[in-house]
Amino acid sequence: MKEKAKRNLKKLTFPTVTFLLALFISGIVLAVMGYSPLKAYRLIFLGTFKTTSTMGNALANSIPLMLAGLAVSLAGKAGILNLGVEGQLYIGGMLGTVCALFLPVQNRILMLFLVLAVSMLGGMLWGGIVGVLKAKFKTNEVVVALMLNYVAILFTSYLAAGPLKDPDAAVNQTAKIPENARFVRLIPRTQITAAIFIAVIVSVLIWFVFQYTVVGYKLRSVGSNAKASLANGIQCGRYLILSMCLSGAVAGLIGSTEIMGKYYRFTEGFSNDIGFTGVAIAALAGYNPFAVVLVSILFGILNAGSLTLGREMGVSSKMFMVMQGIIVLFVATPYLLELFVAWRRKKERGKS
Amino acid sequence: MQACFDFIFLAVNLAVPLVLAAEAAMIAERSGVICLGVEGIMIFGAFFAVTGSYYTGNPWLGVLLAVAGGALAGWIYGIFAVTLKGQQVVVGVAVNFFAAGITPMVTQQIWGSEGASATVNSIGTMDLSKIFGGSTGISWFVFLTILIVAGMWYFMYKTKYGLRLRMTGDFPLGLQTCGINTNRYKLWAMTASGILAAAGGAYLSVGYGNLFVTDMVAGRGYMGVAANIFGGWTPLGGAFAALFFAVVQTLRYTLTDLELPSQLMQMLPYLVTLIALVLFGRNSKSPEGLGKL
Repeated sequence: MKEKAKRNLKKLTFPTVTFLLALFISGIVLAVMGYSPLKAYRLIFLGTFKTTSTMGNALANSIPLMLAGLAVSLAGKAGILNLGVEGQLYIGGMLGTVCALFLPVQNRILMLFLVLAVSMLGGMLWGGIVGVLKAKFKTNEVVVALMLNYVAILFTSYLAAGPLKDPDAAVNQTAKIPENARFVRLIPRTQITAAIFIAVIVSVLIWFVFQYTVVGYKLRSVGSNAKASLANGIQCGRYLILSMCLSGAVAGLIGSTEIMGKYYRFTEGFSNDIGFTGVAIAALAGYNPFAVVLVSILFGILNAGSLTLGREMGVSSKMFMVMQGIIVLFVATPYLLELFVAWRRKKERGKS
Repeated sequence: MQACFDFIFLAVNLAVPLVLAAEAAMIAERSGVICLGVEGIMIFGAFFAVTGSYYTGNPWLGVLLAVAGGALAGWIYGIFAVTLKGQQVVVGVAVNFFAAGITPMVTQQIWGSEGASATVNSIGTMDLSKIFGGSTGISWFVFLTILIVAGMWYFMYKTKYGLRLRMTGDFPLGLQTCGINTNRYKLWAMTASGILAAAGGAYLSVGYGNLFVTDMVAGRGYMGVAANIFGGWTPLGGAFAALFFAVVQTLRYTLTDLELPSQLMQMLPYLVTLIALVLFGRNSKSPEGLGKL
């Protein structure tokens, strides 16, 4: 038992050190630009815990990030980097909105269920394309996913600007979805909705599937060693496609939950790079679904905090993106940390 | 006839950044490094070029600054991807994140607005209206790009170092047994890739346009990567593939008579890239040791 705890602690060390290192370097970036990094970090972390509403909004910010992180880690476990979450969530959001706008369903539960299901289906199809092309044509999944992102964003914005445009609005957006397709806000004055339960349920489901089912085992096996899996009779292509479909379905949920919980309509460009933040979250969490939940709360705080920074200190909200870049960079190079540890050991040995 | 000339000139002008991006991806990937950071380095290039042009008033000095910055960025990218043995795909993504985040921040610092810089002196185009009529000229960058492509071909296939670079990507062990440091070749290739990508970005900001806009690269780096695959990881193949993508982009500006919604027209190049990747990506052979260290 003690051994296991020790091992778990070790697992935590790498992401923690990576995160602190990223904060440190982002601090240098801030300092070079003439802002005080200490003041900035105090604003971000203390500002979040000031009132219920700031705390609630940080948590509300983390809901879509959670789903995005889960979507990326789902594909990541099977060995695919899903950079297409952004496109998948737009497709899911648009289909969900269309469903909510035009389906003559009165029953609230049925309506919510339908909208969520349809958006998952949309994301699933869009993600499935990446999987099929990778499995059947061996095309590079990153380039395909990014091209599909552009196609999805432009196509949905065409729909929001053309056939589905709300004639009274100046911005490209659809009409508001009916009352019975909206989530209720759980805490007044915040944007926390039932979506948070959906995100947590999804994370538990993913954990369960990967831990206790044959499908999950095979997916993991394809991700860790495709050749060995093939030799053992696992049809890799099929599982690649499956993992991208599942990942896309989770990504599709982001679109509909954001619209049902926050905006009540599809607005052009509503996502603000949620899908890409998911990559940073999944990378830092090491594709572990529970770690994704925790890391995305942290990122939700950073995200909300970066908006506060903009208001109070005039720091661009792009700071958040810079931080993500640094985090992803360090997660991708674990060797750097090993080098550092080796160097420290050598130094200590030199002393004694 | 006039329309035909205009079309060709526009296509050639639009091809420049794509060709440079394809060459950048080509040289890095032939050395065995998966290079998805082309997009990010193009953003850096576009930014540095405008900064240089803004402070010196001379757009060519801007290009010089972009190239220097691109070389540095490519080298650092290489350090992480090669020397520090990072996961190359993820490192590339990180470079793109970082570039997309930091450049608007600095833009805001210098020019007060996050979205766009002030307008600066542009290199401009060679005026051909006396010969061909119309208003379209050809950018001076076009000639530079043709020279670069020819130079790349010569380097890759006619020099000792090109041979070694190709070997680094295909069978590094073979070179290592000859006592050659393959990682050094990879680092040089990444630096060169940074220079080429940054030049492509510089073209977007001071070569063809005259300011830096946040999303101005708009996936051209990734299109360059796709063109490189489509062109079979060769200098000439990649250049022609990029030219093909440019022709598709040109259609967007010339087919305005059809009155299709602008979003759908903007979608076209990305769709064509996708289709080209699917149809031809399978037949082209990647370097044997791509992504391995």
